[in-house]
Amino acid sequence: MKKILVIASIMLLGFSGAYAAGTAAGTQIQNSVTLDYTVGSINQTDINANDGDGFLVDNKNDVLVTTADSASIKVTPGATAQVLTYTVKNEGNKVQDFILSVSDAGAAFGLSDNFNATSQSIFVESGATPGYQSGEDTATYIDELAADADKTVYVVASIPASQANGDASIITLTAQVATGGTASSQGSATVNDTGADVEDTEQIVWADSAGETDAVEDGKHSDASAYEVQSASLTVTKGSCVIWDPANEGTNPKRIPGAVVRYTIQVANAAGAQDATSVSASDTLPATVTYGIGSSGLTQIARVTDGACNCTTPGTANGGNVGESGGTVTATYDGTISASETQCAYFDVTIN
Amino acid sequence: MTKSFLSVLLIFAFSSILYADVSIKSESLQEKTINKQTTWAKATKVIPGTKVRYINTISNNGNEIAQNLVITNSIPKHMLYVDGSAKCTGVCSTTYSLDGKLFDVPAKLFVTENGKKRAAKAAEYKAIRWIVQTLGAKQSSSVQFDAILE
Repeated sequence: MKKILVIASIMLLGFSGAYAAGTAAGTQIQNSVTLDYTVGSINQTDINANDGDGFLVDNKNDVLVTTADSASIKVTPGATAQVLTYTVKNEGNKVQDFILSVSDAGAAFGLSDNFNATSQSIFVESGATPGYQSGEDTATYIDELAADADKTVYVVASIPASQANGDASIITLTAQVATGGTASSQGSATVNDTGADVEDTEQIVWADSAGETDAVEDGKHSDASAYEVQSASLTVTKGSCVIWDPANEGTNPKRIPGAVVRYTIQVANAAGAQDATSVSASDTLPATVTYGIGSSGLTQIARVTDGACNCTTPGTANGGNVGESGGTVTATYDGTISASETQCAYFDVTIN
Repeated sequence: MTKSFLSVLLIFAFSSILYADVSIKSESLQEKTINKQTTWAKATKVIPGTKVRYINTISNNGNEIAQNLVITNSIPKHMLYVDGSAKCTGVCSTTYSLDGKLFDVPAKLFVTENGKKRAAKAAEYKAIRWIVQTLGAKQSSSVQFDAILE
């Protein structure tokens, strides 16, 4: 037999021909075969045959939920409209609706859940503006999602004001496959067709994998994300030093009447804590001292600086300020004190 | 001259009496578990990823031997041939085609992709051809292959 080298060019697009999600439900697949033969060296008429009308591709229900959050969402106590983000993908072979629900269950990012975020709502990204927009993203179920397509879904919730640094609320989003085909109307949940096979009928076959809190082939899939409370963690340290007295002046001054004493109030935010803003400290002066430098002739120091306190040699003033009114000194610190940052307030008093 | 003409006539007469009534039947099956037993039954519940077994049965209901039976099966659209699944019950040769016209063994099938020639993948086969040398009178035989719905 003569060998023929067969080389065919196949374009990738032409070859794949179908969605990754597979051949569309309702497609008829028919086989046809041809038989050619001879009898006593005489070629006979070819015979063709089919496998009847073949079979109808059934409706594969397959959904995949994954959180789009790469880490826990950091929240502050009392915060509202905090957003967790998920992606719901139709891995089946037909347009479907998806019913969405949340539960305080599951595991995420190695956190241990110890509270429930309140006022939990679910919204589907409208596609108008990326990210959650309260006015735009209002749909509460996924409508008419094509095979192989996906949608971004947000869980929006509030954090109770009583939560402390390190608290976590884990939330699982579940998407249930529902009947599609009617736009702007949530279809009912599909039912796995486990009964007798019906020829030439498009049956529903659940083919999803097990999710965070749901089982394999249950018409659902789920995944968890989490809120993690991070509040500011401020440490306040008060200090003082004598900088002048009437007898010794600037050289080894003592705390005697008429001496000038400098107070420092250091505020430090711990590593890993949330930013602290609008930080202020107030100090009620004892009756034994008077705000200011008295008759020392020194230059009065009343300032806030970046970095740790250095009582005898204050640094350059930042945007904060220190003031006194009626025997109470108020220090207002500059802008934001981020994690691991320190600011220091300085002011001088005179011993009566 | 007359004698040879007669013999030709005789052969014709002979072949009209000794005949090979060959038929072919095609079935599509899938694995089903019925009463806890897994068996291949008529394909009715097929979703992307389901494996379907196609079985073509050839029968000779006549009383003459049929020869050189060439069974050509185009792989249905949306179905991907499963490597090594083409079989026959008796002795046969099996070849494959990438275009439904030229058939050869897998080692001789190549695809040109991005200007480079590479061995064709089983899922790229478009047709299978089995050649069964003989099928005796009142005999039947079958050929089969598996394919997965994409």
